[in-house]
Amino acid sequence: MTVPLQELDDPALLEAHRAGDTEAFAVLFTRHRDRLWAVALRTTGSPEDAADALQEALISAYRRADSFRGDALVTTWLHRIVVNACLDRLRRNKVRAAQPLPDDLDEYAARGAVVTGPADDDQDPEAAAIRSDRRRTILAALDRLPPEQKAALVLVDMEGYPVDEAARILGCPSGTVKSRCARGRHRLAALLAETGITGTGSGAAASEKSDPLMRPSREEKRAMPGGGVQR
Amino acid sequence: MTGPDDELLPDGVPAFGDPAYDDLRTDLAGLRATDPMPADVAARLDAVIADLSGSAAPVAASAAPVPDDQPEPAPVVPLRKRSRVGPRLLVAAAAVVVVGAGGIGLAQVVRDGSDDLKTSADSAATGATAPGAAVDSDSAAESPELDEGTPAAAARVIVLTTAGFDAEVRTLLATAVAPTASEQLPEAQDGLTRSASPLPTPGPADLEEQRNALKDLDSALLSQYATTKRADCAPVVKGATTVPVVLDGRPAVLAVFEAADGTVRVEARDCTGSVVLVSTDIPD
Repeated sequence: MTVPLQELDDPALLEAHRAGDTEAFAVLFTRHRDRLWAVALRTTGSPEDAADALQEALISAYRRADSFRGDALVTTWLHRIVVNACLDRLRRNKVRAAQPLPDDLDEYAARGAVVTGPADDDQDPEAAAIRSDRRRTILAALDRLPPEQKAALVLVDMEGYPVDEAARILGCPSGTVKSRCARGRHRLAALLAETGITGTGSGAAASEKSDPLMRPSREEKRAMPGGGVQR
Repeated sequence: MTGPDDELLPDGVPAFGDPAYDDLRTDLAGLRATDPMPADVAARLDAVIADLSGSAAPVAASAAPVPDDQPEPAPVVPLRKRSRVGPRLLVAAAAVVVVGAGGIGLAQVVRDGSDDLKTSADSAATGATAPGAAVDSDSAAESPELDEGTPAAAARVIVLTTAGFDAEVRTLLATAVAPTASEQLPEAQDGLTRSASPLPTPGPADLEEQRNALKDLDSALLSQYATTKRADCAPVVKGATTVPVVLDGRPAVLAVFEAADGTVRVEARDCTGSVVLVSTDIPD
């Protein structure tokens, strides 16, 4: 008696896919696609880029199933491929002088209060407008961060992944994830301070001109074409 | 407060665990994306998987393992240039549309099982598919006339009627997009697995009715399609995505034209591609 695919765990599904089951991968991807979508959406900052990155990742994962060595969770492996696809896309899209606002801002605005204020503020149009504006501003500022810092903040601070898990997804040491998060938060706070949003932390007063974090870090320089110059 | 494994941070930058940015972290946590993947994206990715599964590039026979952190070469599937409606239809091609006196019933044949149904559906495109092969990749390779080379589509039959064309096409498209992940997962029932369409929202009794309807599906009609070589009804329709169908019991082709304004025109044409049998306009 054949066990239905949806009853298989992730490693078994991947193994079935490797063995030639034409539907196993679809079941595996469907199982995790909402979380992968969330990460892709927040990492790329736009639904279109997220969809394209996911498609790239999907194809990559499908074809690279044999590269999964089993030393991490299948979900970690999938997230890693998705995040890499998002980062590749961000790097390709980078040097955008005027960063457009994320496309799903209306969606955020309609989702109600999370960032500030009590829940009953939902009844107050002015409070809702302020919240919406705040979300919009934070997401726009997030899009101005270097891709690696943004990805670290999305995984750790937004999606709530433990640092170690985020490190496995990003393919770097845990200390690097912490560093990227710390730098990213500091830079984000500075960007938000420029827009008048306060209360985001002690580093909010840092300005882009004076803040060394507004310059690429060593690792970011290494990731740049040409490698940058070591500080 | 820098931890031992924190990389060196510039002066004035609070360490990872410093509470200075707790408010900011709260803000970021509140921006977590919680909505499910949009249906159009899901359908698009499902179509990609169908493409990949159909092409059946033997994953087990792929090259040496690539480290996880090595970027994959550029994928071959075009991204945004790809039709948003075409894939929906191709995904929908995995659905068998049963048109009966009681209206339209939809069931998606997901895995092999019921021999009579599977054989009728699969053989429609493959001629003689061995039992147990839900989608035969070899037969897929023999069906290059499918516009997007989707062998999954080649293994199924879309059955439409002139009288109900408009509603059936809309239902077909909705069926391709709307089902959630869990709804699309196969459910084994006497060897026949399927998922119900969200339209017209059948309950358990309806599912059973659909199941029976599928079993009672006019085998002669499908046999007629099966005995017609796909190449005999695969006209090239300029500017359209095409999908083979059965219309009123005869082989035909569904041609999908996408206008720049987002309007989609769906035509059923005869096997010459020159005669429009029935058509409808639908929003993208």
